[in-house]
Amino acid sequence: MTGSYGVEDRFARITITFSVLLLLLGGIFGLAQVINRAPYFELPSFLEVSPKTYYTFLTGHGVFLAVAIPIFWITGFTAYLAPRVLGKNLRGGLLRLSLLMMFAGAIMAAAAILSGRSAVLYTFYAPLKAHPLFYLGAALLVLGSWVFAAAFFLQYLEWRRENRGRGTPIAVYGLLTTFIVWIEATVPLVIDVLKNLLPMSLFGAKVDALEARTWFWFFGHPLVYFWLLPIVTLWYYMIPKMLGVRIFSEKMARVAFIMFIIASTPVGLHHQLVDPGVSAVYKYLQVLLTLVVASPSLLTAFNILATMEMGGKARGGGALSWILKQPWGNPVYAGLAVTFIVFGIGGLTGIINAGYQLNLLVHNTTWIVGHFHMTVATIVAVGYIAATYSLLAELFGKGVKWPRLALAQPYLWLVGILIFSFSYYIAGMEGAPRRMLNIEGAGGPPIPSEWIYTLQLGAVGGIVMSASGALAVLVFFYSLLRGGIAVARIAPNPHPEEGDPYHPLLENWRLWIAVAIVLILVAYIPTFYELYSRGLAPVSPVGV
Amino acid sequence: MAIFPRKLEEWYKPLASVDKTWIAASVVIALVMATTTLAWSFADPSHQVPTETFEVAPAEFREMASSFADKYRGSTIPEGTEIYLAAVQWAWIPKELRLKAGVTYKVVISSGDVLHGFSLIGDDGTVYNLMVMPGMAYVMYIKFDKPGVYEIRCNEFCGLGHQGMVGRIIVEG
Repeated sequence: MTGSYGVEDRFARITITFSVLLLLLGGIFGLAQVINRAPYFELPSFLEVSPKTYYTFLTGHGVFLAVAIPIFWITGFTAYLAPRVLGKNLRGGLLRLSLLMMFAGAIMAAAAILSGRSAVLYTFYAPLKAHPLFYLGAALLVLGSWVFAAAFFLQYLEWRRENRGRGTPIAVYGLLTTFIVWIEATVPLVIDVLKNLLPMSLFGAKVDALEARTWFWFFGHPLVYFWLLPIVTLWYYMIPKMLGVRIFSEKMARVAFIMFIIASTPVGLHHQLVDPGVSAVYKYLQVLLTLVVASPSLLTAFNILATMEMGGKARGGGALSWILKQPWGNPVYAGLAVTFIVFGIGGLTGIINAGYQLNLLVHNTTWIVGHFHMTVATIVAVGYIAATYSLLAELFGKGVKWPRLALAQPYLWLVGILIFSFSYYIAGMEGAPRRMLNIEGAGGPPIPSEWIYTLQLGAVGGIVMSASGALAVLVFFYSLLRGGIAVARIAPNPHPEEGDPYHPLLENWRLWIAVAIVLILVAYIPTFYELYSRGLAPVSPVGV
Repeated sequence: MAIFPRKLEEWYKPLASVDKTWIAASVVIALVMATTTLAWSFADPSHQVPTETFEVAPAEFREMASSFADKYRGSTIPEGTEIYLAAVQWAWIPKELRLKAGVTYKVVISSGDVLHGFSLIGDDGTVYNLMVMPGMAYVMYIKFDKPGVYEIRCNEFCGLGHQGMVGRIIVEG
């Protein structure tokens, strides 16, 4: 079966290997940051960085780990899995075009960042100005991913025509959701780049800061679900498969995915709750929608836990001992379960960020940093890596060389992230700002003592997380060189016992996409009407 | 394919009751949280996002804040004075404000160039964060109950000197 997907597999091998390389680079940046921002850390001089290097690293850390890795890894993973689930090829020409565009974009953006001329951070808020290649590269990377999405959608529509009345298998169902959300997310990004950021960077055109920021978060929040959804897919697909049971509720899983399609996008204003110039009513409307998007996460938590319970009991567990009966010794299962637990905590803290008043307390503090390292960072460094371990055998034909180290990796991360994020949560509630180099060196008044030990403890957590990331990179490349054993099978079982359930309403993508568009319009038309009817206030671009 | 399938019975298969219960529970949880956060707006008016804003050119606002700073340098700001606070790369104008405890001041805050963050941090545990945008001003009404020193730190990245952007408010008895 593997032989017939040569083009897809080559695509996947390239993008997934590249993702692991980016993890190495972005991880080194992260380590440099966390130790340099901790107050009174006595660092040897070769580890101390200048402000320019610090903010360049910070930009690279965000862009490589949170934008580039998800795009490359998710397209690669989809190119591997979707053809095997549907039994259909992706169009080779589109794959090649997409790979070319994504790499060209990534290299342009990386050059703009690493040259030190684009230290505008991952949010690139106008009127701070980066090198034009930064925006061009980002746009090209995104457009390349659209070409991949087109190949995937075409493949699915073909499958659907040939399989009328059959339910979409859950793995493809989740990946389709991922790419639908991705298109919802990136349209506003492309508008922002073309309308505001490129003219600003190329010709020094004036730009309205609030308008650009609103387009950014219109993109920035659904981006979060793009990172997350492949992992939700893997929870629904791999956890029952590895436990030898079915999902507790196939329907509820699909209801959750549909809720993600509907509610992921019209929530970006919860990043702008303390912005001047946006009506409190529109802010509150999107707070409400944000809390609605917590629902599919709650559905997932319930469904996956119930599946784990069924699986644990099938393996001989009792009322509570089913927890012990999980395959905790399997690196792939351990990675997915750790992601599930950590994401659960991170998701709850996200509800606090989105609270209309609580945001006043935590906005732009290290609380936020604690939050998104429990969500996105864990998804990338543990979730994607767990799936990559199993791909080492099936996709790369190598297997895992050191399965024990691979197993230690997610647990080491768990220890690190708990220390890091909880320290940063506490520091944030005490007002410690995010995105800031060594505060005590700034010549201001002495910093609150609560910041000192929490940020130092955060650095300890960060070092443990870096060690876990280093293990992942080491295991991956050493396994490529030496080969090893298969740890879990990710490709679908050849003869599924039962077909996937068919619910026409849950297969009606057109309906749900239409609902999503209506909700996006309801959420954003008032905001943009407010902006444009008041008249924009364009300001001149400024260098970093 | 039409948006709605042709016949109801083709797609209508009810969810199991445990599924329905949990879906309902998750929606109820979301609604409870939404209600609480709204109710808090009315329950605690002291910690709110200001709603009064107006457009102002960054250069013009910087001028307003500079002349305000010159006028009140080193002196306590009298009751009834409109305060201008500008965030610029990489300082607060004025760098220091001397206010009287128990007096409500009107403070207008905006940026002279790029995005900044207004983070007010007191040793009594006060933490209050707002965005500062070029082109748009916030109008805040603030009152400090007790004397003390409050720091104003920029907490939105604004360029390479960001970490040094610290100001303060001294509240006198």
